[in-house]
Amino acid sequence: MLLLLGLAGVCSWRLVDSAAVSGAFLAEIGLERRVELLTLDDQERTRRTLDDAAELLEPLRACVPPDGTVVLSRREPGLSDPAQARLMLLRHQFAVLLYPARVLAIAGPLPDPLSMVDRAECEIWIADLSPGLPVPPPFELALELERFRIWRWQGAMR
Amino acid sequence: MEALPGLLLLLGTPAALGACCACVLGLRAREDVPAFAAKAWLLGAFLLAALLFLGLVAGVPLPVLRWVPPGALAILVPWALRARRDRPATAAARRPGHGLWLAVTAACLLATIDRIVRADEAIVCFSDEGHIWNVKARAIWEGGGFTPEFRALVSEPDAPAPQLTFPHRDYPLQNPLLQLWSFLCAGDVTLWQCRLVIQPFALALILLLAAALRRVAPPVVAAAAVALVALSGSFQAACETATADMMVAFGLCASLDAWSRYRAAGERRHLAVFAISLASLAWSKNEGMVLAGLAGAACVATDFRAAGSGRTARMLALLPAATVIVGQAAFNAWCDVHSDILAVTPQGSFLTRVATQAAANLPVIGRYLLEVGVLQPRATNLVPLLAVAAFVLFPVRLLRRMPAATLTLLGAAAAYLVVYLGTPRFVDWHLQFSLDRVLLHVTPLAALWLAAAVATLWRPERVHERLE
Repeated sequence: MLLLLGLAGVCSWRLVDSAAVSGAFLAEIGLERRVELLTLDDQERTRRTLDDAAELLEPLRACVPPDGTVVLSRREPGLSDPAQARLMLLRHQFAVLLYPARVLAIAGPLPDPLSMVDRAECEIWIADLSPGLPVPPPFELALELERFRIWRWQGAMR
Repeated sequence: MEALPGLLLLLGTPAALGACCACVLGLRAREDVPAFAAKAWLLGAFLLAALLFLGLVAGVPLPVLRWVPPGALAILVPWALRARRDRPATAAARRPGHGLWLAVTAACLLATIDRIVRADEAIVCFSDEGHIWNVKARAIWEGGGFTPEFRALVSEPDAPAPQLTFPHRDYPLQNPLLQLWSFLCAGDVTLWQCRLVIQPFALALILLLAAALRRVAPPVVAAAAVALVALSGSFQAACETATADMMVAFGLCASLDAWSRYRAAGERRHLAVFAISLASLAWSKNEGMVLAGLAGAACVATDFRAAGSGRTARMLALLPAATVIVGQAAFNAWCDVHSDILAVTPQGSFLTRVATQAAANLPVIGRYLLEVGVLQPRATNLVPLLAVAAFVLFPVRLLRRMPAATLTLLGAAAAYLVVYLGTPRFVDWHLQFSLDRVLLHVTPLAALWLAAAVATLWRPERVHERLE
């Protein structure tokens, strides 16, 4: 009986706490916002997940071949820790969204393209997250978006 | 896809397949609506994934594959209608306290649906949901089926840079195939709709748990136990994603519930549900495979003293799960993918690592169990801890009363402990990123076991139905 009473006590505490947490979570937003969430389109859900980098998704999906490589590039000197963390997060997200293309993230100057991939004939696309900074040859501008630019380098073997 | 017809095709097909399959097996909604709905989803999702798998193995092109499940449904509907006519249902009698149980279950369902709606504001692109499960579905899609291109994608090493994309390539296919279904419905990879086929497993688990609890425990205890599980932090976090952990928890709970119903009534229909639940569990995740083996072995081991009739049928019920395990192993061998847990590393084979790392890993595992299982009550709501406490105090009585479930839970604890002891990774890292999910796998069954234990210890004379 003591065990059952103890069990009932612990369960009651957990139930009250869980109900309070769930209640608070439910009360965070109203019906209007829930209806809005139900009716969001793909584009808006993408924007809410990737923020301004959502602009890159469709152009990259359209132009990067399955065996291509995408480099998310931020070349500003002295990139802050949060900015670097954001770059890494974007790399993880785009690695799924652009699968099976390879996605790399490089903070700082771009290295020699040949050192970045194991296959010289592979296409390398630079998603330039540092607009305003010049990209050295051999990359050529492929697409100018509202906030970002996409550069392309095609391997010498092709 | 947001349009109603798209959603109907996406979710209605597995639901209708499952409902028809349940009717053909002899289950009736009127007898137990929540249990019927939950089992219908389990059966439908499993059948849908199996149809897609067989279609892909047969080389059916992806645009044609889309029509295979609706075609199967067209065959099943008249069969189910005929089966329904042949076996009329009787509505279950309502016990006192039914209203409270119903209200709590409905509240848990609403809270979970709300979580799902809010989680789906984001697309699938991160964490295990993206890198393990979604990418595998994308590999099938990009490869055009189980083609040499798919095989190259899956077996290709992660050169040149160390990639976190696509770990655990050996994981079973049920989840990726269900996500592939959303791609087939849309005619392209989907960004968040692929989650919608996995998330109903959380709702089905609540319904199944509520029905199973009502069967073995008084309504107040049943209502409390379902709320403890469904409102826990781990459950609410898992229902937001397309990972397979909810499928594991659901399959384990469904297997033991179906086995208990079969042992109570001796009806073959429950044995059939047990067989498919076990197969679904084995096809959900590698952990599910281990748990399916343990649950199957526990049921067989505790079956020895049962009457001789139907023993062959009970042994045959293990066949679907065994087929799934062997089939998945053959598929992995064809793809040249292997389990990282069982891999031979510089530290030796898995068993060597268990022996050499045990002394160092055991205190770390104990510390994490204390932190995640006890000191973070919002994650698990202490259900596994309470189950352990009850078992320590009444080991013989509870083992004798609920042999299969007790042995399954003990086996699961031992199996997970051995995995952590022999892990090829840093044990801290491994525990940090998996322990709460591993606890979630067993928490619903532990809650069911705990509620049945309370019913047994509290008023044993009033217990009519039991958990085996």
